Amino acid sequence: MNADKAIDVTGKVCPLPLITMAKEVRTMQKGQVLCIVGDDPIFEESVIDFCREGAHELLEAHREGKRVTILFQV
Amino acid sequence: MNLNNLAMIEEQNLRLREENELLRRALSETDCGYRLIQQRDEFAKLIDFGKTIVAELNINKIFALVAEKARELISAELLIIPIIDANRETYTYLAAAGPGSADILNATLKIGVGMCGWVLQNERPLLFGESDEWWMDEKTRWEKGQQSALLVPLMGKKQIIGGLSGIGKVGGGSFSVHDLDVLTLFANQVSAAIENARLFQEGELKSNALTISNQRLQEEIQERLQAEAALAAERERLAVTLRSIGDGVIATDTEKKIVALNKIAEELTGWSLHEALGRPFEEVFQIINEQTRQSREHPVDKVLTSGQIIGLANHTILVAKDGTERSIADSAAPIRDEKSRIIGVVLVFRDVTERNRIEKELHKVQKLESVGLLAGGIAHDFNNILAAILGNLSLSLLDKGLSGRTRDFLREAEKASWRARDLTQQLLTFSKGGAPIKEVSSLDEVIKDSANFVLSGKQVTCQFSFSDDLWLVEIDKGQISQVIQNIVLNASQAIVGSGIISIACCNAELREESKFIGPREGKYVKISIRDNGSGIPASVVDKIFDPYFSTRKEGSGLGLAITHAIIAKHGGQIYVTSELGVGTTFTIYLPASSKSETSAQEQVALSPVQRKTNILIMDDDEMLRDVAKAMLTSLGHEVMLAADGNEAIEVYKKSGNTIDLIIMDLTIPGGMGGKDAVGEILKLNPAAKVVVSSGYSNDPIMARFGEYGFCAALVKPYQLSDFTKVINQLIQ
Repeated sequence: MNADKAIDVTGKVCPLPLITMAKEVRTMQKGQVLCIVGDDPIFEESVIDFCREGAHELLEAHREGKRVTILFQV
Repeated sequence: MNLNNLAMIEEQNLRLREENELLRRALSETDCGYRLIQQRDEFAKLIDFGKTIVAELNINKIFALVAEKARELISAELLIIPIIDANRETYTYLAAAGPGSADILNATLKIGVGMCGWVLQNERPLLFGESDEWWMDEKTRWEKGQQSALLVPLMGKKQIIGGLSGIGKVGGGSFSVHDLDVLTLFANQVSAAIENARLFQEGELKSNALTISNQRLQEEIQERLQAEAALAAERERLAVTLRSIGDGVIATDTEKKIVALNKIAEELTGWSLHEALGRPFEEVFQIINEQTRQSREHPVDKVLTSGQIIGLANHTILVAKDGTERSIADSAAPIRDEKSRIIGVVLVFRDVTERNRIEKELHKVQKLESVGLLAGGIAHDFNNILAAILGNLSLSLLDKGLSGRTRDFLREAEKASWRARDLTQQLLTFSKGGAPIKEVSSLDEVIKDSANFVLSGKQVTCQFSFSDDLWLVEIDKGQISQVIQNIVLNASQAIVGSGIISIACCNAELREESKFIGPREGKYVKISIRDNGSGIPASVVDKIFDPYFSTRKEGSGLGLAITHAIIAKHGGQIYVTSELGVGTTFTIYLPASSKSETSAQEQVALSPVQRKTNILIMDDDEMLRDVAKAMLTSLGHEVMLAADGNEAIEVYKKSGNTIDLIIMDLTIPGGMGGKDAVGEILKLNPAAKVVVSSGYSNDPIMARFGEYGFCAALVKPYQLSDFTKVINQLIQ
């Protein structure tokens, strides 16, 4: 799936990935897709919580080692 | 102690310090020693930081200091401080020190979300680094190259308040368990300061809020006071307006209880505002039908039922608290609120007693005018008839062959005719009013005849007391007779059953220094008419001369008003004194005449004709013409007759100025009267002697005949002496 925007927060630890993602979402239109990649130990869990709280549709999530890639619709 | 000893001690101290330094260096070069020194320095910092932070009360400064000092303590790239919000469901990063701080500050997340959320939820420290302190699986273990993170809770007295989180060890690598211990110690040290500062801030906020609240309260109080003052001013304006309204105003609520009453309403109802407030409307505003005396339906009821403006029925009487009754006119209207709901009734009413009285008086005057017109017409004709009767009686009395008894009968008939003439004069005065035609006369006969005439057939008797040397007066006998009759009639009506009216007449010479407030100085004849009747109440004694004032229902209220006017026109004064239960006295002052009684008698006495006079009589009444001719012929004069002005002018023209005297009736119905004819005659002969004759003795032309071209005035009905007087005065 193509994303409208993609950000990589690999190497950054909580809460920086969450705050960076939230800041990016505020710049996007409703319906656009954001792709975010991170390796924070709590990254996947935090992004899923964020989507649930903000009513964003989680589209895709997969892990490669420590790297987790998540796509969701804003 | 000597100097040598001191030098020894100094040397010893120096040596000890050097040894101490050597020992410290040696210690620092061992692992254990290094760690001890490091710990000592860290404790010193902790104590120093703690003192700095505890001394501060401003929460924002404390957060900034804590973030900065904690970052320094554990050598973190970034130090952030998440604080649990008041709702205890979210947390907010309230302080941060290090690169990227601005992005994090004030970000809010739910408790449970993120690493900080985990620490805050579980109240446990967390180390994401090379130690074994991480709880997750292999996939999430820290590896070199990743940022290390260290989080410890900030525990308040009762519960967790937030945390301290270091992100990224300066120079890379991982935070250590030692860092964790140091940060935990620091967190424990500053958490109390943070809590205190937050409490202080909350207290300050509450205090500020209280101050603001107080301020608002003060403003509200001020606004309310201003509103109350404005309301009071509005009420005052309303009250002043209500007080200033010339009509009575009463306002009620829907329960018909009185809520407002103005000054006029107080006066008319007899209830003060204080007494009336809250009372039922019907109690204060009692109204009855003027004619039936039954209670009227209340306008307030009608308004509340219909919601319409209601006018009060005619002939409504308001009965005041003290029983006083007044005719009123009013209207009642509903009072509505902004939603048009009726919240009360306002009643506006006025006292129309005086207006009604004036209307009645006006009606009375109009009635009197009609009656007067009728009376005047009858009196005029009647006067002419009387003139004929009196003329013939005068002629009969000239007969020297009459027996004494017949002469007496004729004289009585003549006397009665004169009384009838007086009556017609009253009628004529009543119908027309006017200036008196004065003649010099004595008062005694006029007074006696008038009083006896009124009292004829009544139980009231009259006592006369006249001075012997009474001065003469210049009066219109008819009018003065009317004055006496009016007063005596009133007096007789004030006497219940039998009674006495005393009439005294005397001369009065008033001087300037006289205390008597009344006529100016001079000679007067004073007439006092006193009765022993019921008297006049003091409250009305000043009004008795007012036109249309009467204490009797059947009275016209004109008698004493005419009396007053007649006396005034004679240059006199009239006064009244009265005492209830004792009686009333009327006092009249009439100016004394400078002419003597003798000369007056000379005027009226019959005197033999000195020379034959040619006289033209003009009158529309044939009977009068005939009797006048007979009377003048009997006196030895030559008489010509004319029925109107035109005929008189013709006769005069034909006579060729042989007519010595013309006696002309003032008015001729349907023809030229004396008023117009005299001008024509005077055009023919400016020296012509023309006498005006009329039954209307009060006509202004009769009083001021000279202004109209006449030489004298002759009041009908006339007798021989009247002719003689005029002829003597003008011809002989």
